[in-house]
Amino acid sequence: MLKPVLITLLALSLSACGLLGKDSRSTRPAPSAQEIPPAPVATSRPSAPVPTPAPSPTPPEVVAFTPPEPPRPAEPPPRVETHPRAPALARSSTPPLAQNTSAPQGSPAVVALLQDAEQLLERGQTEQSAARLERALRIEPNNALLWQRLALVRLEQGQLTQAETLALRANEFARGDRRLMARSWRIIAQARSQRGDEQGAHEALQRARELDGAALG
Amino acid sequence: MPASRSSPNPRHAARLRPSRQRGWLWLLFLVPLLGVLAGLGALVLYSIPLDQQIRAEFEGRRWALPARVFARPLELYVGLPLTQAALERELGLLHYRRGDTQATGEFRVQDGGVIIHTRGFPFADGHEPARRVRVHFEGGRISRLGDVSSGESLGIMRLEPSLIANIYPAHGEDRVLVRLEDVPQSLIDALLATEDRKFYEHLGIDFIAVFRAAVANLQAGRTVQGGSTITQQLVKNYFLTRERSLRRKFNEAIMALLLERHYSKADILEAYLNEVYLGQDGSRAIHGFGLAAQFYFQRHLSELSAEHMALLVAVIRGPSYYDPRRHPQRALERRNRVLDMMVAQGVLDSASASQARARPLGVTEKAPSGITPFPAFVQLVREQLRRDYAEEVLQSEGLLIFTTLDPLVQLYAEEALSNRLRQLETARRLEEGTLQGAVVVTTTDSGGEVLAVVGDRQVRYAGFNRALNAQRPIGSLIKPVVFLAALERPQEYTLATLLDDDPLEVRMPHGATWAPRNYDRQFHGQVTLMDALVRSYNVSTARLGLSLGLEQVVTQFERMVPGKWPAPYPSLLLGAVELTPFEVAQMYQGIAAGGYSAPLRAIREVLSTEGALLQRYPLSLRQVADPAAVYLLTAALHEVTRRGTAASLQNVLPRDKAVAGKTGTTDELRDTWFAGYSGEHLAVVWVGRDDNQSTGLTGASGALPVWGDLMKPLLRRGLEQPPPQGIEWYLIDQQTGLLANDDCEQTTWMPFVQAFIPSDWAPCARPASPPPDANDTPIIF
Repeated sequence: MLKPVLITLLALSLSACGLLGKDSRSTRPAPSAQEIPPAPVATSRPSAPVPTPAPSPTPPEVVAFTPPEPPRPAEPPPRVETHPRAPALARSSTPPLAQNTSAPQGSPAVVALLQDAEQLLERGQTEQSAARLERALRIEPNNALLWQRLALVRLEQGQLTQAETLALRANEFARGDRRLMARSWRIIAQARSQRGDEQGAHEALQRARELDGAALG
Repeated sequence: MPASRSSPNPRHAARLRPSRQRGWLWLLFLVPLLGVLAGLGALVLYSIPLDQQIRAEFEGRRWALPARVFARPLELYVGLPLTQAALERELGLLHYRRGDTQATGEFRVQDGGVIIHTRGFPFADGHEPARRVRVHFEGGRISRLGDVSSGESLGIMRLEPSLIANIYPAHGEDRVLVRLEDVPQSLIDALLATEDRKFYEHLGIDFIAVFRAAVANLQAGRTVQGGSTITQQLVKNYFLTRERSLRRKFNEAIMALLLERHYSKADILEAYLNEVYLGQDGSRAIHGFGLAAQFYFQRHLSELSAEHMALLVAVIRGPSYYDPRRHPQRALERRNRVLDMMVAQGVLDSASASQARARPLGVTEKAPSGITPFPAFVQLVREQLRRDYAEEVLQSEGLLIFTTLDPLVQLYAEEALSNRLRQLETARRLEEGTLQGAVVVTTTDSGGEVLAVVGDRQVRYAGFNRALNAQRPIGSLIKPVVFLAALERPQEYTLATLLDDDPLEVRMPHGATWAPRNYDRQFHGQVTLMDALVRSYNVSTARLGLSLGLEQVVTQFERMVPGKWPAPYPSLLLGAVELTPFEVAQMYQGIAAGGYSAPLRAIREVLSTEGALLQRYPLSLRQVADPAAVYLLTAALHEVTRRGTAASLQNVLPRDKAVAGKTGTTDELRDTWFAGYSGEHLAVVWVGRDDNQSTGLTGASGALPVWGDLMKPLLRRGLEQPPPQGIEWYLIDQQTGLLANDDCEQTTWMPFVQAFIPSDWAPCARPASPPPDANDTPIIF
């Protein structure tokens, strides 16, 4: 009679281990919102209660963003004059190569709003925090960090589908910032786990870990 | 009359009951005394209901306040794309005046920048203080922003939002509530000097004033002076009737005494300042000084000068008789008399008074309309509010509704539509007024906020709102949905996939055949998927849709426009489905935002009249398409504006700012559409006729020019959808859909999902090039 119970327990613990992996920070199957390392906001607050990811020793290599480049055989230079369109679209897609931190590239206005949002979130005023982030997004809709923080607020509020969608949206703007993308996947993992989708959570965490590994070189 | 003073309330009257007296001699006194007592008792009994009435009126008074609808506040920060002209236009909408910026509501241009003395505003997420700020511009953006007094630079600040509508009942009172401490003392001085000099001394009735008035009126033989105190006037305003009976006067007097007994002078004065009737705007009654200041001068109370205050006080005596807009001379004389009385009472020095006397009335030419200048947008707001609030609540609770309307964008949209329709009519020799149109503008990426709605070329006219209510066939505007359904299968379709544009006949179930034709009456053989969209070919699109399966297209359509399930007929593939311009905007918003659709919102938040947050309408996202597929689609829609059906935009818009869009035209040229987006704005334009006759225009010649005119002042950010992971751009030969190089004549850059690039070189490139394979193709990561 005990056997199935034991097997279930074993399976559960194994899956928990699988979820835990080598992530020493995590003690639960999926990271909690607090454990999702928040992006270092460019604030000078003395007591930042949030862990800041260690700076990467090597700049993360940029993946999968190809500037428009015709196939080499004929080696034609990009025909900017005759095709201003392709470069125009693609130029905006060029990842910021030099950027190896996830500090917000935002304007002072966005940084100010982001700081407010962080403080409000710490005080548990989640909806006020969301309002600040939406204000900031109106100024910089392409700022991945803002979408990610909004995803985190929705996660705190238990709006799991929104949290996941917003985190995915954040990664559309990540422009090769692997650490930021990894954080988004941890948010997604948490949202899926809270929804009871352990398999999905596991996959999301797997992606986060791959990205982390790649980011750390 | 004196008797009423001794019986202010029943409890007090009870204590007046005399002790019982014995002895018949006292009868002589008792009879008249009983008479007096009976009179007193009757008065007490008479006063009881009046007391209840006046107290209920005063304390339970919940002024029915209309909901106020505000536009978005303009956020100022360094880097904001904004010209000085646009800022001045915004300040104009907010009724800022040019001045020395000592007072709020003033601005001036100085040293290449603008100094504004802002009014401040209590926003839901924090108070924006009134302050003097200096704004500098460079290259079409704000380059510096600082506080003038502290000299510090500001990160971000907001101007107050402009009031765009009030939600009234059909008839009724309107007011802007003010607190006593917010009313300038000089206004109160002016009021008391004119209307009630003994206000702080009398008990509700000023008998000397009554006497003085009576004498003056007797001498003049008509009513020239009133003896009513502020308290009496307040009572009169509470129960405003035209009745001029003695009984009413008597009741008013009793109630005035009762009010004074129960409440402080400050309470009574504050109530009066908010209650007094000061004007009429159609069926809307203007009550209180807060609203009257706006109604006559477009100023806040704190921004009034002596002559303004005197005029408001002057109007009290007869808002219709002394209406400064209809009877300026009468109003001027009365105003100057008020100024004299202020001097006589020592609340204004004679130098200031003579200065004020020399000034004109200062009344704005037209009364600010209680009716909204943006009826189409406000209708959208009301529809979205109706889901959450009952109509009575909107009309009476004084809710503050903060919307997403961008007045600057709205004005551009209005100008673009009405000017361009007039031009089209002139150019085509159409009778003026033949064409109609609608425009919807939203943000591209930051969560589906509706910035502008135009529902009629008569933009201020609140008639049929075509933007929200005109259901029209969308024609080729549907094609992006068909192509999106294809591109979501990257293993089957790329932008370079060749489609068949040869004649097509579809046998329908009931025996008829459906044979789509192209607009140019030609067939084009093999065309790339991108070209089929860029040139808006019907035949190849129909064939593509049929091979995808109509159900597939319907499903994709419903994802973009929730709740809409068009019938799965082949004609759907060419746009035989009716949508409103607003619904089209929802459909394209998902594409413009990279596959993440947000329900279009016109409201950000609703606050109670005290400023407490009642409801937020937050940003929410729904993924409606694969971002990679949407990226490819946007590349094709961008090509539409470069060399396709919307190529004429090249002559209108700056070429370094990429835009994307699609034209649409329906049978017999009845409806002409353009839906397009930049990195910042999505706009949908419909041009057609109310009688559904042919316009003689296509999407490219009707709606597109309106769109171009609208985007010209707005286009600050070109397309900036970041490419999803694994997207690569290649030069493609348009004939074959294969990889091209410089040797090829007609080539196009196309993005591909990494794993599905064309595997071969086009013949034009082949002689020089070995066929690329996975190892050979140099892809720079």
